[in-house]
Amino acid sequence: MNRHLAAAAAAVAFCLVLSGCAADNAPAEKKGPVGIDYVIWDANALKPYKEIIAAFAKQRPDITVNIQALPWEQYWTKLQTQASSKSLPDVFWVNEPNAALYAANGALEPITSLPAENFPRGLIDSYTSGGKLYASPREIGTMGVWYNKRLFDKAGVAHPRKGWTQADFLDAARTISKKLDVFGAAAAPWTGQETYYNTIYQSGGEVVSADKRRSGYDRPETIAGIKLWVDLAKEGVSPSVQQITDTPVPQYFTSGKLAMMWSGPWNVNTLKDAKLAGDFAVAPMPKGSSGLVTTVQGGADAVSAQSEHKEAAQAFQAFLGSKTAQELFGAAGLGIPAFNGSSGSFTAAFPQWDLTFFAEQAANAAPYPASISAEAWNKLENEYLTKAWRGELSVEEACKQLAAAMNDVLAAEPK
Amino acid sequence: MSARRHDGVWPWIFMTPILVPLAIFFLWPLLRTLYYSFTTWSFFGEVRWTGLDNYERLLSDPDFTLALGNTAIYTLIVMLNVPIAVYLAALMNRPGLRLRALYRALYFLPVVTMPVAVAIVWRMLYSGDFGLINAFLGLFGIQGPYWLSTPGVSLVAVAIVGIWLSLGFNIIVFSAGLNGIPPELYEAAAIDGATPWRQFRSITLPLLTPTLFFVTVLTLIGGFQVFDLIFVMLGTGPNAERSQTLVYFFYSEGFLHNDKGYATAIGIVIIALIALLTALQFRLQRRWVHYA
Repeated sequence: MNRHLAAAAAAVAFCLVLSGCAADNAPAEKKGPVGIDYVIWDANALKPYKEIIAAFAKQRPDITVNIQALPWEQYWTKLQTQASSKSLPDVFWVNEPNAALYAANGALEPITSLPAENFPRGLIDSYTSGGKLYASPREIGTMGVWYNKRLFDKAGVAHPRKGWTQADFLDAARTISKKLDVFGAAAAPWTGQETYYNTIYQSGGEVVSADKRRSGYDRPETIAGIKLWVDLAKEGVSPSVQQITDTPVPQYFTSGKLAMMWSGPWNVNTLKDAKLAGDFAVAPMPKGSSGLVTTVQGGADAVSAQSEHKEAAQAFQAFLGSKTAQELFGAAGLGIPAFNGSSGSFTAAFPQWDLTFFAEQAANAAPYPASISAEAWNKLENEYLTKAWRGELSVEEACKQLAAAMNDVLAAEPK
Repeated sequence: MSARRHDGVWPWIFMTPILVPLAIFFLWPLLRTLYYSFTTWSFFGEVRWTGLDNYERLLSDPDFTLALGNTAIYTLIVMLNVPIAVYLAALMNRPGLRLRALYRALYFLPVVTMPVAVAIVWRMLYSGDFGLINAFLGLFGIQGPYWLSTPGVSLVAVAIVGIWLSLGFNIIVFSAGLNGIPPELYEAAAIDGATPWRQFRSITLPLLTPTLFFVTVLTLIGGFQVFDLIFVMLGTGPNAERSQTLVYFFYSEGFLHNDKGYATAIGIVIIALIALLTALQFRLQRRWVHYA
């Protein structure tokens, strides 16, 4: 009997060894002849998109759009797997680095019929490669400073307003956190777009050079833009990197434990429903030594070159790039529509806040730092900057090591 | 043994229903994996033969050394599972114990719970400022660490969950092993004046060695394959890179960096390591496992 136990152990062991490598492949979905798949990364957008899709159905009743939202964390992982098995969704959300990557590998269908003059020049450029436009811009994202009015008043600090400076911001953060038992501001190595990318450009630095050949992290201006946040964390004005791991920044802000949260316009929907919604307000980015105050990123919609229903997919893409669809998008509070002159649909939906500056700031914004290998060097940022935040390395040393590692990654990119 | 020679083709026909799926879903992918481990498999699916490049790169990759070390540490900690399970199983097997079924059910509950759900709940328990664990330690004036974001601590924290998660299964297996020991042996020992501890050492342990061996083999394999707990508990934190284990490293290269050729080489190394360690255990068992 016990001999059998050993044999069973061997058998089970063998099976476990093998099953360790069994990959799970999601089956490719096949829909009807006029059904197309549309994949996005924001589950909050599903409901508003039902409306946009209904509006499209009035124009083209012969096409059914099946929308699906994937969590952001798994979005590109899943899409890359689909791309390599030639089963990409017909239409899907893209951002700058991935659009460039997918276009370079022939996975995106170029757009021939989008009136480019309807969109900000910078966004069209971001999505153009080799003279062809590969995605239709959907929204523009710049950052703002969400703040808690009650905490400012309690500490007797003037509210942030248009034209305030980096020094004003640091003063406010330090004073409030000293006077009240709350945090003044918050940043962690993985909140670049919301926090230190802005201060890097405000200080005159850069994350990656315009030709995508060199990292900007060894430049003194860039280092200054990061040091400011690390100092706040050291002084206890910002929660530590460990605290933010356990409790994400928005939770500190919505529970009234954080005076200022640097973030994007996409917070409107969560903040308006928060218990302390009445205390929240938003202000433009502070100014630094350079003319730039933030970065501008634009989400876009792309059509897969692998699509079996290209005509239908492109018709839907064209509709998504129309004023009608973009204003529905804005009115739902999903973000600032990219279509020129339609940002009012977004700002009008939230009369309690002055959101106009988000679109205006695009004029003083650097293009969102990205390159084909952005995913790889974003990981490096996380790795090296965490060492600076923890005090294991000085900010200068961490940034220098990061620049060296990032330059290796950039050098390996096909140019 | 002798029967097999005369049966000819028949046993194989009866085994087809199991052999065919095994060949399609295990052996074929395994062979493909072996093949891809000698290639560079780029983003959009072109596969290029690059010989031993992946393996050479692996040997000089500090991430691999790190993942290997982390996996070894994790597996060693999770091995503590075995003595704890033996002890608890022995306690629950004492004659005359009331509510035995309840205890077994309680310990077994984590085994049937989804690991991802378990990991999410433990992540909350481990929270540095608002977690239950640190609140409890605070009652005694102890300032608990940030469990999941302090290097060195996070792997231990995950391993504790790993132990908790698989304890129930091992207790059940050990209980079965304990029940297989004839009660006469204990009666005879008691008459000879052996203390309970002496009985445990001289009767229970030797007769339990086959079960111990079985559980040790399984625990080691489970430790080497840990992924879900690490992914959910540390995946988004600043510690994900530093606490990565072999399978996480495989996932990160294959699906995050999209370097599938390199990832398959890691997969092959994981298989080889587990096979090697298991073979080693089978060799060593002759020295300490007593089959009655």
